[in-house]
Amino acid sequence: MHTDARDLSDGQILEGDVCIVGAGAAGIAAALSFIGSGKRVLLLEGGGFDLEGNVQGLYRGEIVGRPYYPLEAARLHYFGGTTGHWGGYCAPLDAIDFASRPWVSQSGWPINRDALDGYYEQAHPLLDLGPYRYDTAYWQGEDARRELLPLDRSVVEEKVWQFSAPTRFGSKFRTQIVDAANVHLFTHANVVAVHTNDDVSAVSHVTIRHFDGREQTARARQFVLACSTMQNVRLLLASNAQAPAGLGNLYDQVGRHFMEHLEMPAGTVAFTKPQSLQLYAFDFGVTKMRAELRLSDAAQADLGILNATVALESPSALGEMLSTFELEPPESVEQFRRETRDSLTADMKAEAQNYSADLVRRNPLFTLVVRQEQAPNPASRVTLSRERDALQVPRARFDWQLTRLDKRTMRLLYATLGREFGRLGIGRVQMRDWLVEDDDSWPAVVSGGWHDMGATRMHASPRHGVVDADCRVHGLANLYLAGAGVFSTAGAANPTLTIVALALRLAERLRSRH
Amino acid sequence: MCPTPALAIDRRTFIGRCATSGAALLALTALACGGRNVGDRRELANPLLLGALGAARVTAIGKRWLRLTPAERSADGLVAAIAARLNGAPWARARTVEEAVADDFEQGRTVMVDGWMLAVTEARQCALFALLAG
Repeated sequence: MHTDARDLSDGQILEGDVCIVGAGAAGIAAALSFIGSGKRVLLLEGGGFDLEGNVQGLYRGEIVGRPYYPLEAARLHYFGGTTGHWGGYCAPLDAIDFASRPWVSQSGWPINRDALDGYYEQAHPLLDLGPYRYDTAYWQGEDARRELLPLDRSVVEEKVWQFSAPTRFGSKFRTQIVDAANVHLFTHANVVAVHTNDDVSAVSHVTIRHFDGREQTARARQFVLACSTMQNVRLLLASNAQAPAGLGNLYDQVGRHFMEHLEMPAGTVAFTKPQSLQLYAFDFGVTKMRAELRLSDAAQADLGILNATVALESPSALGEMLSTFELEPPESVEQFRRETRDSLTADMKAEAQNYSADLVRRNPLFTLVVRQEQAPNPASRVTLSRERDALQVPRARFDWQLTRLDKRTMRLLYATLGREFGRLGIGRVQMRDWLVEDDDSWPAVVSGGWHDMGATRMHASPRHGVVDADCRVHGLANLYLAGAGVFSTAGAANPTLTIVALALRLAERLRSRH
Repeated sequence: MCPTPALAIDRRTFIGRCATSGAALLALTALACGGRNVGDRRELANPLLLGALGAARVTAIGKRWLRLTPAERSADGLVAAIAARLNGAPWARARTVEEAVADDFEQGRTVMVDGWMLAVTEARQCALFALLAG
């Protein structure tokens, strides 16, 4: 079922068993999981089926820390959410990402990788991925041209990625959601406050508000906030009628430990021997899998650094590759979204197919693009601005901060690759000049992967996190969070596959509750 | 979010690429040189990187090395330093330059020049190349 909430009357009350706030990757995956379950699901989406300026404008916020993307461009506020402009990169987190690493403060999830494997596998068809196989041997068996670089795998090894179409959830699942008998999708239903009972032990209802001031109430037995990391934080902090510091924030944890992936070209390799790179090559929109390079768990422990992967990519025809902060003004983001609303355009596919040997002959160098987790940092945080949006909710105030360990990781990653490539006769590695110094300075061009993670981290204790191992907000019996905000650490893999896996896991738990 | 497509490279492509650089022959010659006969300086002045980076970049690396190591600013000094890495014990087979470079990496005798992580031996090769070219 679908209702445009703008057609509802002021004061109307909606009721269900489960109320999911937000219809992006997490919210839609969870809602799909409830179809046929007998549970009445309210799926509240603030936007419509396409972007609208006033709705997207609700995501605008203050940036007071490191340079970052405009917040209203980083996440999309409509049915399908940010899958409307994601790149389709998928890989599960590594086992080490879930572990408590003595050299990484605040590391360690209350669950391990095994707890997610089954859900990762279930997530694969939703994202139009191949078999749940991330070992190079399997993919070499599929294509004999995929030769391994002659690496010492006790130091450097492959990290396999798969690539979604990229699947646009808004297009792919609209009919399935709208036709579901027990799921009621309400579009233009912006939730502006979460209300609890008197002792702030459980959520009773949420308030929906429209631009014309009308309001509705949604009541349910269980609530899931799936509005994106930053918007979940905003909603928790702004819901301070009964809890002055906001919900789930007894220990000042909501909004802290915001994490991004440092994702940028920070080095170059010059190969010195003929080597097939078929396993490592990537044509956007064409390639179904590829391998990137990572330091082994043992090497990370020896060096005391974070997890990261490095992709081999052809440099720009213009010369050195640039970070997204150098490349992507907001208008480019919007253009990209429009051009790829449902998938890649025919032109883009054709262009990708044309990336063959010709460019390689002209330039013998490959760019090394890093994707790196950032260390959990309590000073990297989202709070509330004094400015309010058009629905009278305080805007987000975003203070993105990095640490010395983040830079040390990137520098030692490239240095180790340089040593290993040289030692094994593979090639030579160059790192960007700003990376050479062993300090904590960063240039303004350091860019992220457009991934907002953490800020409502999963931890067994409310003193160190916001949700427990079941993604339930500490101290509230029936409030759950979905999305990358619950990541305790970010890992090196892009978040969407893990977001969907965690949402399926959460939905399974909620389905089994009465 | 908007990734740049990467390229595949296979052996045929690689060879084609090197051929177009015009420097592959020199690079391959460098692989074969070494030994005790270091009389031909130009053989030593052919770092493997030449094929991939070209003469201009190798010259820049070489000049940077010369600025960083004033004691090695003469061709004679560089040749002697490289030769010392090729010649081991009297009874041992002389190393090739490639073997000396690999040994440098193995033993951690590496330097960062213009952001490139290089073996000390090949940094000297770049410097020698720069001197001879200049």
